[in-house]
Amino acid sequence: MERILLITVRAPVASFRRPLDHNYQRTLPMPPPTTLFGIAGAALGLPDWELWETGSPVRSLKVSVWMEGEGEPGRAKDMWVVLKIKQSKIAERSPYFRELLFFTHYTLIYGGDEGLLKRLEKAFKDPAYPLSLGREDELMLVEDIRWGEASEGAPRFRGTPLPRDIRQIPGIKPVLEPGGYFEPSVVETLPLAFTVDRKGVRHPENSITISFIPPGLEVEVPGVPALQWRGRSFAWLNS
Amino acid sequence: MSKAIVVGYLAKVSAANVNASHTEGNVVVAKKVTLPDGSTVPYISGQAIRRMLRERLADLGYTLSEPFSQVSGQEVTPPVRPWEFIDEDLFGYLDPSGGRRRTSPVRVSAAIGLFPFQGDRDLGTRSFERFGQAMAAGGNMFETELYANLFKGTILVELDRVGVFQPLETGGEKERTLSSLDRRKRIQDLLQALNLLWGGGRTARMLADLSPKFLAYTRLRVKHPIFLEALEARYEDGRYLLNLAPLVNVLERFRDYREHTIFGLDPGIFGNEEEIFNTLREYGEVLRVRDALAKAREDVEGLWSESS
Repeated sequence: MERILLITVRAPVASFRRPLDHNYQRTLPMPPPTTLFGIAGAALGLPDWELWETGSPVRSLKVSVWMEGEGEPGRAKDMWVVLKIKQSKIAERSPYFRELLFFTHYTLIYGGDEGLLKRLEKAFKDPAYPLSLGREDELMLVEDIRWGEASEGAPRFRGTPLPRDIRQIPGIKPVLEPGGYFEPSVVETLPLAFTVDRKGVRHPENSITISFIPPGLEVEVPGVPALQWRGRSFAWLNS
Repeated sequence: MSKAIVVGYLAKVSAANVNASHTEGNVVVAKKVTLPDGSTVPYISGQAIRRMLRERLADLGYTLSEPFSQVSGQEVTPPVRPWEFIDEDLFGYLDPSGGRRRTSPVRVSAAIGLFPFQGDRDLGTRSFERFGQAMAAGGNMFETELYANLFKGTILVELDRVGVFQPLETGGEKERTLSSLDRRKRIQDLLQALNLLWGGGRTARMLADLSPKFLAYTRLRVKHPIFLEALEARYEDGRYLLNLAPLVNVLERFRDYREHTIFGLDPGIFGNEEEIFNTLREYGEVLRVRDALAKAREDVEGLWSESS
């Protein structure tokens, strides 16, 4: 059994840019691990240069997330304009597209030292900075804060990320039920942390492959150590 | 101690495309989101609303900063004088060359339509007369998507950060803080800018008034955007009806954290005005929007005195 802190959140708009996307910025369907750390840091009042310091308490947290509900959030393709500079003048406007998720509903899951989790619980009730899912205006609402005891469970997942490339795991099978629908998982290489340089620029570190299992159908993924709470399985992304 | 002001609001648009996306062929499409059931609802991005708020602050007499005041190579540098420029203070900035950056203490959510987009389009013609030809030569036809809708939005103001500038934000050695008077005035003028809200694209022929027709203002001891998911409405018998259950739920849930709550309700918008008035007056004064915002500005007047 493992004590976990579960934070259920909603946001009308959210986006989690896939790292290499530039002119067309797709979104991940769920917050990646660095966003989960960032939200904890914002609640605790840690600016990013403190959040990503080697001794930062947040770095010792274990993180995961699952989507609430059966369906995908709404999606939009939002056009932005970048001003390009040539010879010290703004010479042209270059459009790019950013995917946005609408009406998102997630449970963020944190594990680790219980003292730190208690600090985090308090911080989510009274966050030092407003909390957002993505960019600073993508505000999120904390709907519920709960403690749970996670136990080892069956590796059957839906609507949650796994720290694996599921394309490389043999023996994956869907748990078929009437009404289920399936779409391919998003698989992406993502950092577990950043280092922040003197200019405030973040550099990714400890990248791993993460598969985001969609919510419409449960999938059995052998070989992934699963934890379970109230019948729902998840896996730590950073352990 | 008060940590945040949160304003949830509803703006009514009768026929407009406030925030357009790209063009598809000769159609200017509205920004909209596709829901899992395939329907779409329009939205106005948070960036667009920030831009409108900045412009309304300029209307109120403020000189705004110039985000591209210095251009060097591919880097643009804003002035980084938030004590001087209200928009740098309230909406933040990024100086890519030196790493100075200020996260906005004013968070502005996208405004999302409460009702599905129905596919309506406005047909226009760009006359060839403009290009030196006779009017009889005709012109190019184009279409613009437009909608009638109620938009819900939220603004959250971090009170402890307005008018307070950290060394890493300014490049200075010490924290710099404006006088309480200036800090209060900036927040009051932001509320006034919300009262005056309009803007976006296509205003020459699709002008829309985005000033709130309903609002909930609250001063909180925590930084939570409590009204973010609390405003819902339905449409029956030719009138909008405000669904009060989600709003009452958050007012109850955050009862221990709310320090002062005010509601603004303009007449003639909602078919259940009396129900709104009778339900919400248990939680705070219910006034016309203009008076509610005036009351909110009075409430800000009490900030950073001993009692707050």
